[in-house]
Amino acid sequence: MYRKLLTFTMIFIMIIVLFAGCTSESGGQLEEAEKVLKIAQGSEPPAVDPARANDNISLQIGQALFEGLYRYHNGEFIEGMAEGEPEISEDGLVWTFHLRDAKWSDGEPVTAHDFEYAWKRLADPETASGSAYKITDFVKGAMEFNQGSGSSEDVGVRAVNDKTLEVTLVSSTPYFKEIISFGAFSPVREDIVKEYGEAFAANPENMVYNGPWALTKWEHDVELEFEPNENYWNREAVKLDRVISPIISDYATQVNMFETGDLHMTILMGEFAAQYDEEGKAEFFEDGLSINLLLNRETYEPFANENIRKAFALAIDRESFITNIYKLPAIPATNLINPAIKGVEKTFRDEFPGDYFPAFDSEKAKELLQKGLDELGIDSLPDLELMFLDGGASPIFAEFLQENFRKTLEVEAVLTPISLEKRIEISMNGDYQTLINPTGPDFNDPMSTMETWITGNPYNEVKYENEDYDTLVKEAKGIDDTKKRMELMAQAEELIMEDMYVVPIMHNVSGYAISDNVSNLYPTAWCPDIDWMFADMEEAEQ
Amino acid sequence: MYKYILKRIGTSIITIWVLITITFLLMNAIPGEPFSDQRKLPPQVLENLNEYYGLDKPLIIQYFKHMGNILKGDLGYSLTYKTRTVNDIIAQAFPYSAQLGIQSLIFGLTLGLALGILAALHHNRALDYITMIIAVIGVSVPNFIIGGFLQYFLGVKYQLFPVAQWKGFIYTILPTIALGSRILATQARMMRSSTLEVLNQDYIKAAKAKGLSKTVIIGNHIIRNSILPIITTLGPLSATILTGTFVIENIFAIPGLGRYFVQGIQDLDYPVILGTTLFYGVFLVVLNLLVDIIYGFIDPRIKIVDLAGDRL
Repeated sequence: MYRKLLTFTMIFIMIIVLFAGCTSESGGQLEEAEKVLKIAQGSEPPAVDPARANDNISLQIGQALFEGLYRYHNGEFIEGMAEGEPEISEDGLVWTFHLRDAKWSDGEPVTAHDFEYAWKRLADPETASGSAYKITDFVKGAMEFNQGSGSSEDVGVRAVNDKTLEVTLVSSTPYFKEIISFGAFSPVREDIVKEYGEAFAANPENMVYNGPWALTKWEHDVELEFEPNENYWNREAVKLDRVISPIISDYATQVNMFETGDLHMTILMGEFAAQYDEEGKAEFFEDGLSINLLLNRETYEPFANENIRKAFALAIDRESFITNIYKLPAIPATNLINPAIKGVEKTFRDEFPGDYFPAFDSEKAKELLQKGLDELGIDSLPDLELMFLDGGASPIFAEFLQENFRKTLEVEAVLTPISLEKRIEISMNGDYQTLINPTGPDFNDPMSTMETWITGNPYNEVKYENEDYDTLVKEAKGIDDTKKRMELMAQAEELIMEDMYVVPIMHNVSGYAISDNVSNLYPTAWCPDIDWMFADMEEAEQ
Repeated sequence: MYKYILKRIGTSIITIWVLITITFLLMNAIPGEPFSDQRKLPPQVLENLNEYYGLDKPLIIQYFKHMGNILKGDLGYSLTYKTRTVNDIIAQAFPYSAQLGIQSLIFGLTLGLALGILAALHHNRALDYITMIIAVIGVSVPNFIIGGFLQYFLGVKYQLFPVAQWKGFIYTILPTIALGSRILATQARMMRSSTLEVLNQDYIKAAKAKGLSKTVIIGNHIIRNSILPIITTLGPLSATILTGTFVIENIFAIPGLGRYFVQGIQDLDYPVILGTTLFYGVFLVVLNLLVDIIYGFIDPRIKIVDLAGDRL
């Protein structure tokens, strides 16, 4: 019996040793002098191909491997493949870019033809790119090509020669440089795409790079590894020796790995953010997200009255929500444009603070409510349906608003959670009374927010109609003078805040813990949300 | 015997066909469309995407296309991970899940069965109570609590084991314990009750009366008989454990298959939903067949008999 037991134990140990042998290779010892940044990704990157990448993670990897004409870095649009500023025709429609001498990772030169091919590929219906609208909205002929009525020859992108790219726009777009800093506008090589077809960019061997980094390892669902692209035109700006990016989908695990030094940075969600904040170890960055409340006058008649709408705006105790419930240093919003958005020199909010109404004033709210009720000839407000996304912070928001409205306005809000899938359908069809609307701008210009609320825009979910507003925004769309443009949009913002169909609640922040040893690593308010391209470390770590 | 196996394979194929059909119908009944997530895509962009993936075709055509491809062994490209086929995903992820599963099964079964037998032999004594307390905790505390607990205390606080990832045997220990704890608990309880039942049988009394030694009674008579009901449960249990578990894989960042079962549905990634379900279905059916065949060998009372009563 004992011999049997012994044999069994031996076999058991052998099996375990055998398994230990078949596990994947360990990362190996890092060489002493190397500066290796370890930064997690929340999931396997869905697609690295610039035309097919449209999520945060893929775009983050895209900005390491590829480089478009310009690059967003540390609050600025810096030169990428383009050398100097573009030449813009007088009517603002034709933009000419001059390319610098740059090479792909295989030594071939980067040419304007690579851009022409990549941009047309982005608009091509055959590519079925989820980011196609980024080009169809701006470049002449791209919309028709994408809809199948035009052809690729008519798309307004042309390589005049190897070093000159000429782009014709649908209408004057002063912020076009911002638009094309998005990953989808990176160049790709026709011969490589044709060679690999569906499998283009599916693994490190199936692509060539022109960005600051090269992908040296991509073990699906496990880890990515980057090394500097020696052919990158600005090689000396790349300071680190290596970047290791393990895929860690659980945020708590990321925090734990940060604690043990397995990661140099982690995002802090929920309780972790509050806890790290208390210990002074959290850093908060504006993340571009704003929370608004949409008021629909077509389904809830009292909202047709301006005083009632304003009463709702003043009845929300934003500070109290942020300090007592949300517990992250978010910014109470009394304006529409997110503080992360660029203005003339500084941010738009620095230049136009835009405190259009007090963040909370229950007395004034009651007063306005009474005035509104008198004008409508009713005694009290009917019950109101308040819709919110089921998940994240929205449900606690909804409860807080319900309490505020009950206390100050004596109106009962009925809470209805909705799914993400339903949300767009509901708001686009106007099937709601009030809706908590977390929203972020598409690009780094106030126009992204402002043009949404033009009469007839399909995403104008409150059906806002104001001729003066439309005129101001359209005028701003057509002029090059940035200062004048920003002023016009500030005026338009004041108008829409006066009308108050969209009630701003707060501008969000995201919390991160970042190792002290690492510098030049930025969370951004844009997609991709982390910029480690030119990060550095004070000293190499073992 | 061969006839029986052939018959079983036949019914298995039908079972799997029904499984795929129902999955296909159910996944198309989930509200929403694959590309209509939070992003407000312009209609033309959505149309192009749907056309590209054949989602603009009538359901019945999509169904036959899927079935045809499945027969060819082609599970198609994932809608989320655009450059990866579902075949690739399963081939890459399954080995991790299988390794974790096998280790957890070994850990859970050996300890669980041993504890179960010990508890039964010490019925209503301290060891029995301790074992049952462990079993109740193991059954009632969810995996992710045990996982999080192990990760925090042994990984972060005392730094005895790596916090997460899968880069060598040491990395596998915490997830193995976390996943195996429930197997341990359920098997201990089952083994205990089945052993108790065997202990009351006449043949045990006879063995004792014959004066056989305790080790012989336990080894040759008690365990051999009490383990039978456990083997029945091994098929489905192994299929579930080996094809991956979302929670443990998520906590310990293990690149296994478990996440694809859950994420496929969240993302409405149709090929991934169909592929993983099919894989799981085939796995389950095959394991059940194996268990049934093994059962015949272990338990001479059970022989596969055809309708006429003749032994096959």
